[in-house]
Order: sequence, then C-alpha cells, then structure tokens
Amino acid sequence: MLVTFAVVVLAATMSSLGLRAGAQAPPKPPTAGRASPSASASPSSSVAPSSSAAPSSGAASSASAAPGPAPALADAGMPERSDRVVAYTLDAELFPDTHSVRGAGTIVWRNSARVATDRLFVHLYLNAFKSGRTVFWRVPLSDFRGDPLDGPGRIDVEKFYARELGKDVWPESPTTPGDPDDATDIEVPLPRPIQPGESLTIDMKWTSHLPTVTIRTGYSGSFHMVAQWFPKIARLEPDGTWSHFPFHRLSEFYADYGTYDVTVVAPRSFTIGAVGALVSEGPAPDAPSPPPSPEPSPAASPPTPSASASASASASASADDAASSDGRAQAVRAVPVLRDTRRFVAEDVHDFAFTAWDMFRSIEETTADGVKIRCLFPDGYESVARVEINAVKFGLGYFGAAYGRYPYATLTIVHPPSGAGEAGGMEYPTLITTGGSWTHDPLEGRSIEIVTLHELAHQWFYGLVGTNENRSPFLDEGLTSYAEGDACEAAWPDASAGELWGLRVGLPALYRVGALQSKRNGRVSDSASAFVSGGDYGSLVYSRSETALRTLGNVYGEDTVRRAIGVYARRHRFGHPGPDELFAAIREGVGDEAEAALRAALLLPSSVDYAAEVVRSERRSDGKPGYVGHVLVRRRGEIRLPVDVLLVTEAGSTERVRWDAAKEAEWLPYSGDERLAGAVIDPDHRVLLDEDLSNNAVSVGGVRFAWRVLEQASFGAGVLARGLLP
Amino acid sequence: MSGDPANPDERASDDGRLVVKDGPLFADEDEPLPKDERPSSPDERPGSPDERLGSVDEASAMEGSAAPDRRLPAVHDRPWAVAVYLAFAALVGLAWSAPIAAMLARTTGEYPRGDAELFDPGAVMLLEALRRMVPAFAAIRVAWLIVALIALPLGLVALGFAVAQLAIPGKARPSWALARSVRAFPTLVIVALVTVVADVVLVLLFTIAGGAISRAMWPEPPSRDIARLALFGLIALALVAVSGLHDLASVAAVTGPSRTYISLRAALHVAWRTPGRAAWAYVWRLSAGLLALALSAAAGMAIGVRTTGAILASALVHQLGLAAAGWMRLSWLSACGRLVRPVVTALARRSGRGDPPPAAPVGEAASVSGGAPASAPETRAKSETSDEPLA
Repeated sequence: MLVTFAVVVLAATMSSLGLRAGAQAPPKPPTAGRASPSASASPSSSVAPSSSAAPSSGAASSASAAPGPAPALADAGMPERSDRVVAYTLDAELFPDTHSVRGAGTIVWRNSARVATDRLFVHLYLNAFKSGRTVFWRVPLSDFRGDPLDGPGRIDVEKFYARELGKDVWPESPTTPGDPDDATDIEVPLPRPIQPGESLTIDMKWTSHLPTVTIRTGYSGSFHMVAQWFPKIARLEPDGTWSHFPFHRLSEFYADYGTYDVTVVAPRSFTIGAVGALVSEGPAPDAPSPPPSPEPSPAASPPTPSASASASASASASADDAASSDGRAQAVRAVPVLRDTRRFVAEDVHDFAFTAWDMFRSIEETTADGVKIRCLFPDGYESVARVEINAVKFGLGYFGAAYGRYPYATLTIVHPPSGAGEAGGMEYPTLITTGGSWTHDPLEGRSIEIVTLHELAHQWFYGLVGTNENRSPFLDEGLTSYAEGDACEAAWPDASAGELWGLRVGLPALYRVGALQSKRNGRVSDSASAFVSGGDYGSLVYSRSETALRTLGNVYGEDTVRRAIGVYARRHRFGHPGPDELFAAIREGVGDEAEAALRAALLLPSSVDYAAEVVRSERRSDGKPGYVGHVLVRRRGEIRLPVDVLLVTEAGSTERVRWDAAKEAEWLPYSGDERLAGAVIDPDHRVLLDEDLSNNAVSVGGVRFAWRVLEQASFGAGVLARGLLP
Repeated sequence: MSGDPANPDERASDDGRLVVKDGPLFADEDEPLPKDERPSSPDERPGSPDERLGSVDEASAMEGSAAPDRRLPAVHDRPWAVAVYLAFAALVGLAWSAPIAAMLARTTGEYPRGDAELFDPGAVMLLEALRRMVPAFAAIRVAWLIVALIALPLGLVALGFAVAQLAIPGKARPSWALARSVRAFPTLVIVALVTVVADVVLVLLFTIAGGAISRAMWPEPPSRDIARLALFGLIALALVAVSGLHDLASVAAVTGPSRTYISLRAALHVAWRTPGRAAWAYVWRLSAGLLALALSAAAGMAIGVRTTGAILASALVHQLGLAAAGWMRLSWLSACGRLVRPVVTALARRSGRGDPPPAAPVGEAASVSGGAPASAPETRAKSETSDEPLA
C-alpha cells in the first residue's frame, strides 16, 4: 500500500507537467484601453545580489503572512516592470455551443534585438490539434499527458494586417517551415526589415476552435479552458535570431513580456477566470452568429482512442450531455441570449489564458499584502478549494521571501471539473490550474497542496523569470520542482508527500526515486523535443533537477542554496536567462565545487555512488590501549560531493569524519578505545543523487535480518490471510 | 431460569438440557429421553440412537423454528481447534511476509541500525529499499502464489478440523476431527469454488449494473463518488453474505453427510428461514474481529518499532489482535454448527442418501474439556442464548 501511496503521490506531482505561472496587472488602472510597448524598462541584470539592501519600498515581503524562509535577500533594485516588447489588445467572443472563440485585435510588437529583422514568427499552437500528422501527435509518446481527442482544434487566421507596412502580411499557405503537415510555427515574411527599436502594429482577426480538453487546453461539456488560443509572436533574441518552434508534446512556451488587454464576451451565466485583473464588466451587444464547427477530413483527424472507440466516446459524450442533470449539457445546447463583456488587463506577463464555465463556484480571499486570491471550482469541492487557497497563501509568502515578492494584484486558481483533468496542473501568468479529488483522499497524500504549490512556484520560474521552456525546460520545471519541494518540506517537515499509518514520506525521497528512474537516459539540460519519452522527461527535468538542487542544499546548506537561487530569480526577473546564468548564481552563492557538481548533474549523463566496502580494526601495536583501524570508502561516478562518514564501535559509540571524496577510493583511518563495528557513508542521506544507498554501510557483523519489517509485514499478511483463506 | 425469555418455545429441562416445545432436537444418543420430554411430534420415533438422531422434527427444522443445537462446545473448550487454526494462519502470514523482509534486509542489512533505517521520517531508505526490491518483485509474487496454492487446500483441512471440533457434539479427539475434515475435503473444495464463482458473479453484477445506474444518475462528483462508495459498500456486504453462506455450507459439509448439494441447500435454508439469527450471529463476531484487528493495528502503530522492546511489544499486540479475530471466526463456526445441524439432519433424512449428522465417538460425548458435563450446561445455555436471541 505504501508503494501505491508513493506512486499516487508521485503521479499526482508528475501530473503537474506543463504548468505555467502567470502575472497580472497591479491595482493601478490600465492604460487607456490600448497599451503600447515601452522601451523604458530597467535592465534585467540590474539587481545586485546584495543581502544588505533595505527592503523594497511598498513591497513588504509577504513572508509575514505565512511561515517561510527568513528573507535572505532584499527586493530593492529588482526590476519593477518588464521590457514590454509586445502589447496585445484582443477581443475574444466565446461560443460555448461550438466551443469556438472569435477573436480580433491588435498586436504592437517592437524589435528589441540589436539587428533588423525581415520576418516574424507567429505561433498558432491550437493547430497542433488539427490533424494526426502534426508534430504534436507525430511524436511517439505513450507515457505523457495528452488525452486522445474526441474533437479537433485549430486556429484560422483571417486577417494579419501590418499597419506600418500597409498590407496583410499573412502567408498564403501558412505552415511550419519545412513541415507542410504542421501549422503551429508560421514564418511571416515582411516586405521590408523592421529596424531595432521600430514597432509594428498588426491588426488581426481569427477564429479559434477548441479541441476536447487535452494537455492544458480545450473543452469538456460547457467547461472551457481557453489557452494558446491566439496568434502569438515568438521571441526575437537580442542577436536577431528567432526563438520559434513547432508545438511539441513535451514542450511548453516562450515569449516576450508585454501587456495584455483582453475583453472576453461570453454568456452571462458563465464565470470567467483569466490572466490579469478584471477591470470592467457589463452587458454585451447583441450576439452574432457563432462560427461554424470545425469539420476536418477523416484522413486528417487527430488521434483518437480508436475509430470505434472514438465513435462510441462521441456518442457517449452526447448522451451524457443530454442526460446530464447538472445543467452543463443544457448550457451547451441552449446558448443564453444574455452575454456579458469582461475586460482583463495584465502587465509584464508573457501569455494570456482564460477559463469559462457556467457551473463554477468561487471563493475569494485577500492576503495581508493585498493579493486577491480567487479560486474557481466545481460544486462539492469547497474543502479542496480551501486547501488550495491556504497553500497559495503560504506559497506567496514563502516564495516571495525566497525569490522576490509577487508583483501582481491577483492570483486565480482554477480547479477543473471532473472529465477536464487535462486542463489541470498548468500555469499561466497570475492563473494556475490544479486538480484532484474532492475527497482529498489520504492515499493521495498531499498531492493537492503539492500541485498547487508547484503551479504557484511557476509564477517565479516561468512567469517572472521567463526562460525558454522549449530549449531548457529544466530551468522552469526543475527550479519549480525544487521550490515546491522546499516549500512543502518547510510546511510539513519529513512528511511533505504525506503521512500514512505513521510513516512519514517526504517529497525529496519521492523525487529521488523519480530521479533515478532514467539516470543516464539523457541530459537534464536537453531541449524538450530531445527527450524520447515522457518518462525520461519527467524523471530528468522534474525529479533529477529537484534532487540535484536539494542535494546541494543538504550538503552546502539549504539557506545558502535557496539564497543563491533567490539571487538568480531577482537578478533575472522579467528576463530570459539561460542555464549559464543559473550556474553563475550557484557559483557566486555556493561555490565552485557546488557549481561543478550541479553542472555534472544537469549537463551530463552522470551519476554518483558512494560505497563502504571494508571495515577493520585491531589493537594498537605500540602497546598502548585502544584500537586502530581503517574503512575503505569509494566514490563512483562523475559527481563529486563531500560527505560525512559515521564510524560505529562495538560499544555503540559513534564518530563522524568528513571525507571530501576528491579521490575515487580511500582508506579512512580510525583510532579509538573500542573496536570498529561498522561504518556508514553519508548517514543522513544528504546526497540524494547517490544511486545506491544499500552499499553505503559496511558492518563487521554482516547482514542483519529485517525483524521490524517481518513483524509489520506478518501482521499485514495475517490480516490478509484472514480475508483470503477459507 | 428456564430457557431463553426471548424464545417462549424454549425452556430448560430439569437436567439442564434445552428443549423446545416439540421436544429435544438432539438428545444424547445413548440415553433415552425422559418420558415427560419426549417429542410430541407425530414424526418422532424414539428408539435407537440413530433413529433418535434422525427423529428431529423435520418440519420445525426446515421451517427454521427449531432451536439451535445447544450441546456444542464453546471455543475455549476446544484448545486443539484454536491452536491449529491460529498456528496455521500465523504460519501463512509469516510465509507471505518473509520474502519481503528478506528482500528489504538486503538494503539495510549492513547498516548499524538495521531495518530501523526504513522507519525514519522522510522515508528515504524505505523508498530506496522498495525501489531496489522492484526487480525482485516477480520472484516474490511467485513465492506468494506458491504459498497461497499450498495454504488454500491446507486451509480447507484446517477449517474442517476446526469445524469437526467445534460444530459436532461431544469430545472429539484431534485425530477423529482430522479424519472428519479429510472426509469432507472434496465437498469443502467444491463449496469454496462455488463461493468464488458467486463472488465473481456478484462483483461483476454489482459493478456493471450498479456502475451503469450510478453513472446515469450521478455522473459528476461528489455525488458520483458517493454513489461509487455506496456501491462498494453493497459489494462488500454481498461478499460478506456469501462468505457467511460459505461457512454455513462448510460446516454442513463437515457435520453432515458431506454432500455438496445438501451442504449448500442447508446453508441457503438457514439463511432463508432464519436470516436474522444467522446474520446477527455472523455480523457481531465479524465486527468484533475487525475491531480487534483495528485496535491492534492502532496500538502497534503507537508502540512503533524503534527498539527491540518495542518490536516485541508490537508483535505481541499484533498477534493478540490476529488471535482475537481468529477466535471470533472460530466462535462463528461453532455458531454455524448450532444453526445448521438441525437442517442438515432433516435434509439428510429426506434425501435418504446421507448419513445422519455425527456425534463424537461413543463414550466421548459425556463431557467437554474442562470437566463440565455436556448434558447439564445450563450456564452455557444461558451464555449462548444471550448473544443469539432465538427467532
């Protein structure tokens, strides 16, 4: 059962693959309806890693609201805003009956590179669900989230007019370069180069057809998670190269910071949760007719469970909709006449998503720091919503103290309804989605708190530090997993994963098991598309990153490592750092040895295994009382970390010696009053990357039988025998 | 005191034997009934012991109005039955758990603290041990299967032995009880197989039909999950009921003519005619056994296994819990004998094929262990009727 427990908790944690964090506008009123890019943001590298700076004014650490690490760094000097490269002003009209969104609006994009560019790259991620031949579905992954579709999705761009260029620049056959079967990464040639600092204003019209919910987006009944739903400009790096990529199933996203001013029109009965702050709402004008439903050709249908199963599922879904007594189906069929407009504004974020459902219930709370937390959840999930809000309140304080204050005024938690679990476990700026049973099943451990804290941590590692999730997924998922585990261990020491029948299971132990699953199957630092399986991706990107950083914390001091990562997070707030920036922060804060170990763990297929092999002692030969002896210790693998070695005498006394593990094998000397009985390398299990803990100890007396296990297991087996035997 | 006040048809005779208004159901085979207690039923045929054994009032037995056989021993009167049954269960438990203990010892065996490492907060070593055990899990599963394949038939023999000791009047030698169990073994196997089939059918039926109903009526959580929980409860109840029927049939097989048909029919007859009495006799003992297990589990958890003393204390508490649960099951088997013997007798006679229900060998029926005369246990009659109000 414990195995089940561990697997369930780990699976729940892993279910958070693909989360994003989000940020939202501060309480100040938005710019007059139409934000424009600004080039006045402070440089992202201007934050000094000084620990002596005064607390930032008006931004008291929210750690005061919850237990957390002592604020190791001041937030002074941290950028207050991003370099707003883009400004999206969008109108989105949701048609729940056809699960489509009709969009219109304007993008103001500024060339922030040092060189001119004669093209744009635009991501149309919903096109991943257009057919079974897209990059997203072509990748043979069986062990990663992404339910087969009952209904496809796509984006049809109808207008892409560049004002400054005086023409619609959208290509006639928009496909991913070199891949006619994929249309998620569109190259848009421009009639003339756009110079550094020059802006381009693009008027757009498009229609998004949502798929059945899968991997972060889509619909289920009348529930809609509207994500990756608009044409989104890729990021132009300072050197003039475009960071663009087709939508891979293991990949997430990457974009410039900017402002989003989005007006959502939806039936009045629908509750809307979105990135940013709600700044106005009111009745909408008369509803137009909805766009037609997508009707892809059978040959181009995206994957379904099977042809027959698909038909069955569709029929079943329809039947369920018709028979549903909760009102969802009725809401789908009968489009309400009354529609509302709701306008959301978010600044210094790099994505926008919203959810709409006519069955949402909500709870709102405001933290002492003024962050308005809103939880949207299905009926019956009140207790879970409370758990999630409490986790967020704790996390805002904890992460704020560790990695810099949360700069936005709102945080929306979305708990998707049953059947829409694929929308859960995801992060967007200022909006996170969670998941889990309403029962808060003890067998699931703290999975709800863990997932909530994981998604919240993404607000920093993805949201505020905008790394390239396709190129270096470990920079967001790995650091987020570390932050999540760190917070959970602070909240529930040694039982952060859960507690079952008196056994306290910590997340570090679970992550360690995950980290050892794929070992040398690849590099943690690989790009998302380089992983050949979801298992490797989860094991290396999430678990091994977390385990490596936690190992550093255990060896060199948790506060020291947390502070170093805090420096990295503050220094690169609203920036787009790469792995080198993280290693630099570790080197500065923890030391060269730690940086070398981290580089080995993350950049190479590497390992470490400590082994104690021989222990012996004998009476001193010089006639004096006492014993002298040796212990043979080994370090195998590329990762080198210093460890303690515990020497145990026959009388039971112990002595600790430090071994720097510089050599691969060494005889450690012993001198004492008693004969040596055994030795244990790393008795506190600080080096969680150690691949085999069974050989860390050596004993003169040989192997001890597991009497405790026999006692406990025989009781369990006895109970089982009572039930199974005649 | 004269019989159970809950049952006006029941009274105690002067010599302490229980009688019902129609007469004694089972008198001592070698002793004529007192004249004033002779059955008034027209079917009665006093005479030889065999004839009187068969002279049970078939009508009252089959209608369920017959009182239970009160001459059966209590569990504490049968130390052999208790010892064999508990020892067998303990051995099976050890055989199942030993491979796990041996495998986990490979991870912690060299550590000075041994497997205490596995119980440390955080569970780093526990998960490490489980992780390392995964490759060996296939072998462990095979070991478990082998133990189960051996334990299941032996368990039937142990069950028959316990029943022969507890559900047949008179003092039975262990060798006689073992022979009786072996004789009933084929029937016990068939009854067990029928039980398994019934379990599977019930689970499938409840799961498919109940699942369809709950999905249609409560498609969304939390009502969906509550419906599932209720369905699970229903399935558990059904399995418990089948388990009770299995025990009744098994007891009928050992105490009766060892015919499958008669055994199953007797069990169903008891459940049909006296459902309240049978259910109560089963449920309270089952509940008490489960409570004992839960209490011992909780106590064991509280004690922990940090020190050698704690390991011993925890083992003691756990084994006491298991023993209490086993005791309750033996008590239920004894109660099964009281419930089912009259019916088996009647069915055997009607069928004309079976042997009458046996008593212990002649000469051993006079007393039970502890010296209390079997024919005059008024106190036992009181105590047994106290937990089984007669219908």
